[in-house]
Amino acid sequence: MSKIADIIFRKKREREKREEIERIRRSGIEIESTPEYADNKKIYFILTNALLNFLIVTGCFFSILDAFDVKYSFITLFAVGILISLFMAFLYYFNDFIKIMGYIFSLIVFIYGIYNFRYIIKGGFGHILNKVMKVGESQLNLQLEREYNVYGHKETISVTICMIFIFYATMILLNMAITESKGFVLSFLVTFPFLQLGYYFNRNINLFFMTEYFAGIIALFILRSTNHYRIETKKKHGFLKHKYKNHVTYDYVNDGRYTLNFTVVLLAIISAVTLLFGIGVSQKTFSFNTRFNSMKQSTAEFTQKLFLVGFWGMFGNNGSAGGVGMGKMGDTKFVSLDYETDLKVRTMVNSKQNTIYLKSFNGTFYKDAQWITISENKDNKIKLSDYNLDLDDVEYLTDKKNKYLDDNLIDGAYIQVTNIDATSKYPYIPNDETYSDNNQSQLSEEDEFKNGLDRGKTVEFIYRPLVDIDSIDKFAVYVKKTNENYYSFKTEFLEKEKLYSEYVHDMYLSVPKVNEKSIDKFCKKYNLTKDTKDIPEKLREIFMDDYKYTLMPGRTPGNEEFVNYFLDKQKKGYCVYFATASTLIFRHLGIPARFTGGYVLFKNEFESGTHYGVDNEQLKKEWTTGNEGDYPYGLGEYELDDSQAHAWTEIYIDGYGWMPFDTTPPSFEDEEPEKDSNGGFGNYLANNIFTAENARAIRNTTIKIFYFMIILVAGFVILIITAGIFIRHRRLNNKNLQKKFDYLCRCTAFTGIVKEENISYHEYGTILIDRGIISEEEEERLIRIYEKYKFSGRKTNQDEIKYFNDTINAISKRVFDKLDIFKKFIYRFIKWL
Amino acid sequence: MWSKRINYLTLVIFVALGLLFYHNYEMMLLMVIVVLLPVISYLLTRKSLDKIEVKVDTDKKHVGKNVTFESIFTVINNSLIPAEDVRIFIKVNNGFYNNEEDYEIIMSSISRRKRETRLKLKGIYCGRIFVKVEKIIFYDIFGMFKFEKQCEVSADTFIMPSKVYKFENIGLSDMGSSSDDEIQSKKGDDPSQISEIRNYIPGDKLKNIHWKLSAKSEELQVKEFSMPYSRDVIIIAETYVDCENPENFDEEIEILYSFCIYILRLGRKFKLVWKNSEFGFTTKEIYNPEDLNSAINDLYFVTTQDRNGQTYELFKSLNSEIKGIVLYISNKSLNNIDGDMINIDSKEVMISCLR
Repeated sequence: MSKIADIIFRKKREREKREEIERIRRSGIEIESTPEYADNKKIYFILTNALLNFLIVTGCFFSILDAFDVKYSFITLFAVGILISLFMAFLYYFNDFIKIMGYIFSLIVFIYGIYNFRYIIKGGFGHILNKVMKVGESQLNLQLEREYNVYGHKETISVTICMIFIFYATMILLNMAITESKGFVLSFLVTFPFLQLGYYFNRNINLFFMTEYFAGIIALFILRSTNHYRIETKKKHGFLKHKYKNHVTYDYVNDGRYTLNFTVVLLAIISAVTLLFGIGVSQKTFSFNTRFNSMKQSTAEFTQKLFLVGFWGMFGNNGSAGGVGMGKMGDTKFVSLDYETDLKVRTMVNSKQNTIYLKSFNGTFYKDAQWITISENKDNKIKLSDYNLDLDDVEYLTDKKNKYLDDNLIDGAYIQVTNIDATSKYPYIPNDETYSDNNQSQLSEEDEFKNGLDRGKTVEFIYRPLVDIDSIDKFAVYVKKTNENYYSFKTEFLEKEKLYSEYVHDMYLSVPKVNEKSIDKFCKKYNLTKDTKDIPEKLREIFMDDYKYTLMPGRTPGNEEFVNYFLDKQKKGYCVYFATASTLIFRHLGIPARFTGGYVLFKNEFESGTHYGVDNEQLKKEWTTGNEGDYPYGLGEYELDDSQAHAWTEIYIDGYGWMPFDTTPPSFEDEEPEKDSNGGFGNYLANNIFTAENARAIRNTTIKIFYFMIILVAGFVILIITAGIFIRHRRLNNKNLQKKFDYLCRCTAFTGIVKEENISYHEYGTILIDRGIISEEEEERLIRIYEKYKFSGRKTNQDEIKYFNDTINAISKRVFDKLDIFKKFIYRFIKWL
Repeated sequence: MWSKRINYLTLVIFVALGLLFYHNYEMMLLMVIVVLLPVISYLLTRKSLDKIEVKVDTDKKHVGKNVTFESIFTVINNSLIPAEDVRIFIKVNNGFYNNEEDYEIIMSSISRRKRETRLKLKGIYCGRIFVKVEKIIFYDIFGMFKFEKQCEVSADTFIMPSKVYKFENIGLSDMGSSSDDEIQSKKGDDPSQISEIRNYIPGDKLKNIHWKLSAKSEELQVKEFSMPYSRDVIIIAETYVDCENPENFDEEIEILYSFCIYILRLGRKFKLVWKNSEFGFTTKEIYNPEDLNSAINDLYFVTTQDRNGQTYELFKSLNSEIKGIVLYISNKSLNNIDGDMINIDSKEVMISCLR
């Protein structure tokens, strides 16, 4: 490699040499050697690096411990901190070999210590994290999900020992960064995220430690910005030389004593300012315009998630399809919305109609925090056939509701549903559907649909939406009367309806035993009995008043039941929580109910979307089944995404069938993440940094880089070995005696025998004889040939050249044979000898 | 300096952002610190301006050519504030030549301490190596504010001639000038004076053959030179320097010195003269080698001429005033010298006997 560089830069070097000679000739002055700096001892660099490391690490971690009132032994940690920082810094005092061995030793000691003290260290961690989580819980209004195990160790001892290991690990890392490159950025990024926890949660910060930390960081920043730090690690020179025309600069300002002096002076100045400021302005009297609080507020949600799921969890997707699914409930810490369009809906909405529910699935049995269908429940003994009913009867019975309830129904409309990116496992059927064009409404079981809607497919329905119903009870009375009027002559129909009602009452009133107590307690608390009027509306009110909607309810603790925990303690959640609890409460109160999931287009969202042909009569004729009705938005095209995935309860109304009833309280803007929020540092992080794509990209890139490095290293090694083979082969019969002699010198230099300039060739030969590398006879002839070649005017003949070549090759082989395996490798493949 | 200011400004901006974000006492305190630090640093460094000084010295006053000597630069900081970038601007030159070399040493200065750095030099020509520190520039501890201080301290070292030249048979005689018909029997040291005509002895130089007399006689006749013996021997040194070819003047100094030593060895005192102004010479009486060294030292302070031959011209104009044997040492490129050349082994330098 040096040869290649030599060839490339030879001309430049020669030109520089000529210029230098000319300069000396003209001025008559020659600089014999570069300026010497007698006092620049290495020890000062070492002490400076140790001091910086100590200030930054101890300043940071002591600040955190004090801010969260963690108990520890200050004196022990302080003393250990000094020792560790000095030890780490002194690894650079000697040579590279000792440095590397020192690091390896440190690592071994660290791993050994971690293993042997693992429980006490974990205990220490547990104490610290418990304190931090407690503060986080109260400040961020989070559910405390877990308490870390402290393994029975006392706080002071376990935290102290834990912090020793943390100091050790951090100081190893920062020592490398500080010594080799005055790594300000790395030091800051490693320590500040921890330090700032105290600031973020408005804790009382110990100013002494804060001063320590910032003095170290600012000193590091200044020292880094000078660029002189590089000179510290230069091995050959202690300076940088610049030349511009006739002006030569010798720059070796990186003075160990100076950097130490500077750091101490800076620490003194900062401490003085802190002291004076602290006297003048006490910590509590500080007050600032609260308008700026919003900057930290914008990260509250992000910080909540971070506390809930941890750093790596931020990359994952802990929510599912808006949190709605048939999986186990209570496992989702928060709902993750991607705001990508799932469904597209086209319809004309009437000004009087209610929310459009697009049903996907039902849950009939509640078991282990999960809703399962009739077909999934192997223990179910109730069958339709026992009631002389089949699925067609069910369909017919549920369809007929749309025909006669004119007072409460409005004209039918067409509704097209296109599956863009939703799961194709489920259909998406409007609740009041009467007809569909592809028989998607075929049931596979009484509570289950046979076919889903494939992605890219569109299905069209005709549905007769209901108007807003104020009271379910009143509606039930109306239905009964209407049925009596219209179906009095269809006894078979009425009988089937009666049987179906029995079936529904047998199937959809069961409440698991584990939930009975909590639900009973809930009902007693809010005076809900089977005789209470307007139970659904009352329940809705209770949830709106006393319970909170949130997409980040946190995980249900392992020892708690999902619904019980929600009703008794948690009192917050999203639609799944309310729908599940409502279903069980209705059942407890004698109202058949089932859990339903799907998508919903709320009434207050009718105005959104894209609208065509407002007041267009032709369009109205095409999209509606009646001639009356007010359709103020024309033909609406709506894109439904995760935020419109929803869960609700269906309650059974005799004579009508299943009616959707939503008890989920409405969310408020500051609780729900905004889709297009452009402000907010937290949103930026959540939407642009901590995404699943980024995690995949990081993983893929890391793997690619790893493979690339392996290939690069392998290629390099092959190149080196090949080049070495080629060069050695060429050298074997090299007729250039000068080059051959130089080669001999390099071979012997590898074993420590160096041909000094002030010794003669014979003296050099004598040394080789003494070392047993060459015989006297060989030495005499070899040196004679070389001297003849070098100094005499006579040419060396072919025999002499051959002898010279062969002898040196033999010497090289002798040297090689005496080496150990490692040195042989270096000799052959690295040095190319 | 500007890069450091920008760096510091970024630090201030980050702290300001931190203050806006965290909105607490500690960030406000940090903001105050980062804003105040440069101000404090500036004021303290300004106050310590007078307490920082630099000295320069050399470890040897007289050295030979190509002998190493050290220039020692000492920065003394009596203040409490360390200074990182202390830039010492150095000019080094040989007094005879205007080919100045500029150096800059950047070193740090610790509070209440002196720091030394040594620059090893060697002169390849005779003369006075002059090391001067014109000014120093230093910065506050953050490197954001520059302070300049004029120094004008210097030190010098004399590079003495060391080469030995051999001079053959140059004697000093009493009498006057020569002519073709003169027969002189006195041997002397005046190359323009023939003291004797004798027969040719094999080995004599052909150029000494007196051809006219040899033609008249049937044997080859050889001139034997003599120099009028005089009490005053005056050696005039030409002080013209060709800066493009400094080695020529260096050789002249070497030959001058060797010749003076030779004269001293002959037991003669002499005067060493050089032009010091438009109308005058500096004259140094040399009785012994110490006088010679002292005179050479004084010669090193001469203002060199910018045109060759000015010393000769001045000599000619003051001809009547200068009594004694006058030898003129100059560059061979000078033509039309009214005098005889003394045979010396040099390509560039000649010694002419003007009287």
